Amino acid sequence: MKDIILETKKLCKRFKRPGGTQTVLNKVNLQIYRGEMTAIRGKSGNGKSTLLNILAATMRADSGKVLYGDIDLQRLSNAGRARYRREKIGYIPQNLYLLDDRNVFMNIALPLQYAGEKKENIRKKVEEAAEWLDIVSLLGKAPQTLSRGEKQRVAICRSIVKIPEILFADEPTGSLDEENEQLVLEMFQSLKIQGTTIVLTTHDDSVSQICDEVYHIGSFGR
Amino acid sequence: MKVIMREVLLYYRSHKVENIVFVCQITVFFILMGTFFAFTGEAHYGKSNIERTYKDKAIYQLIDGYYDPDAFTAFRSEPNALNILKNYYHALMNAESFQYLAMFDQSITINDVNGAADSDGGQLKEAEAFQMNEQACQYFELNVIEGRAFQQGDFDDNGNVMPVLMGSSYMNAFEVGDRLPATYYQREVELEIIGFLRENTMIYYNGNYEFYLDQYIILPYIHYDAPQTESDESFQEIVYFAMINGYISISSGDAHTQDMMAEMEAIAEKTGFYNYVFIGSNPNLQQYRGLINILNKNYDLILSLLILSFLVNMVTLGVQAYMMQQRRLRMMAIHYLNGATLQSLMKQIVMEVLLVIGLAAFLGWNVLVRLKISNIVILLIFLMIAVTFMIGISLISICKLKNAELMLTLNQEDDLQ
Repeated sequence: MKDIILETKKLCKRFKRPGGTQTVLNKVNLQIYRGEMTAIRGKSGNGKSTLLNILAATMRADSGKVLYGDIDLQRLSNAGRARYRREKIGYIPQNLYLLDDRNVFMNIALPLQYAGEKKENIRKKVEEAAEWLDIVSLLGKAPQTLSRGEKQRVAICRSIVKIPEILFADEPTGSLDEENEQLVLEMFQSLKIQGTTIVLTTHDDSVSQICDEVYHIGSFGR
Repeated sequence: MKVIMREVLLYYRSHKVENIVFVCQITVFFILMGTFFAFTGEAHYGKSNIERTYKDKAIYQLIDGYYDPDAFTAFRSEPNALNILKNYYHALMNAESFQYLAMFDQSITINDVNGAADSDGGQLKEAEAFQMNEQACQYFELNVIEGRAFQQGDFDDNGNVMPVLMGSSYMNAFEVGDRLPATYYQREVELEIIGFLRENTMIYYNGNYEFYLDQYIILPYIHYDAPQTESDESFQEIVYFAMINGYISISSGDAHTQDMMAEMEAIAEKTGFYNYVFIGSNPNLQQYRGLINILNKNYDLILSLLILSFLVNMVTLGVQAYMMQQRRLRMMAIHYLNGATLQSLMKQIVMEVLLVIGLAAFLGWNVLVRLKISNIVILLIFLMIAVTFMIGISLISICKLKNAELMLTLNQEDDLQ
């Protein structure tokens, strides 16, 4: 019996655009199972990232439910949603976005700092995560000096440093070469083996193939 | 709060140049505003003072007719000369049809203006002094910025201590309560500073509507009691001779002039002092209108510049803040998805704005203080502008953050990575 960790019910999201509103998600129902890797596929602009953001509580849907256990994330206060982001999830954005005003170590430490971890714990956890991803040598560097593949690994490291229950990744292999893509997928599989639930968006067949569930989002998110 | 403070510090560290430029820009703006407000305040004060003092007034200069030294000596040798002078002066002071303004600029010798003993043992120094009677002080409404103005008792004979007001240029050299040994008409007196005149205090004197008192020590014309010694008598004669030379102010119009002339004749009859002359009579005082016009034009010009400058700066800073925030939205989004709340991000923005504008206000105010154009009104205006800026720029930044679908900014391709 598979355990549902996240579930959406009749999820709708519209955006105001010049000349009217655009429906991006229309009554989307899906289930994410604990410990599985789930892919959300679809063409560009079909609402994959929007759905991911709603599941990660970084965006609110216009209607419908997003259930984490029996908690509807849609009904949570801003503070409650921030707590969910801090404690339960990790997120790798499509364009990575490392913070330029601090070094790699401080970038990776960011979620731990928001979680209120003590300094010594932060150091220990960052070093452990960096070691696992083989990026210890990058810790003192400025993000601007890194290659695309290195940045990807730093972004992954930041998202898993607090050992999240669910890891969201928006097009994690979108702009990587084959070697780096393979490396990232291996990391995801290792994380899955360790029990992390992974939800990612992709339009890459090789990524979908290693996933346990694949949802296709068409026009209007159906 | 700890996380917010750390982020604020990181923000300043990574945006040094941007923030230094921002602080400099706002500081310069604050200094300009302060200077403008000081100027408009002074112009308004000067204008209203002149209007109030001269509107519908006529001024005549009154002097004694003893030009000839022999006639002067002859008059002084009369046994009741001092009484005649005193009676004449008091009658002028109590006249009903005019106001008598006794004023005279004469330097005074002060033993060491700087308050320290001279190295060569008490060499005397000359200082510009301006003597005024009580009515003249009231007529020109002398205002002080520190201490107090003259009161009735200051014009009474208080022995050797004479209360004085100092022109504003003396502000940094002396303090209220300081006493300066001086020689006044060859008599040793002690000048006690009771206050400092407002900067740019001006009066009408010698045909000049803008006779500034900033450099002067203002001495009261004392009403002396009966002299005890011959030297007392001689001293008082000299002082009262100075006191009967002054200005007569009446409401403009022929009828008022005739009334004044008639009363002057009556005073001469009553006191036995006939030798007086009106010179440089200025029955309509129309010239002050020209001065008012110039001040009005200056005032309007400065006020227009002030408003324009304020608006341009508000818009410029607003646009800068908006664009800066636009650039930072993606960074804010990273913080947001890593656990920051919108509220904590807003707090961070407010803190950043607060510190930048607070620093600019502090620097700007210090410059104004050094330029000596600070006062409580300017401080209040200054604080008001600073708070307006803080609220305005914070609101612009916060609205930008609040209205943005923060996470959507992360999906926009750009050149940040």
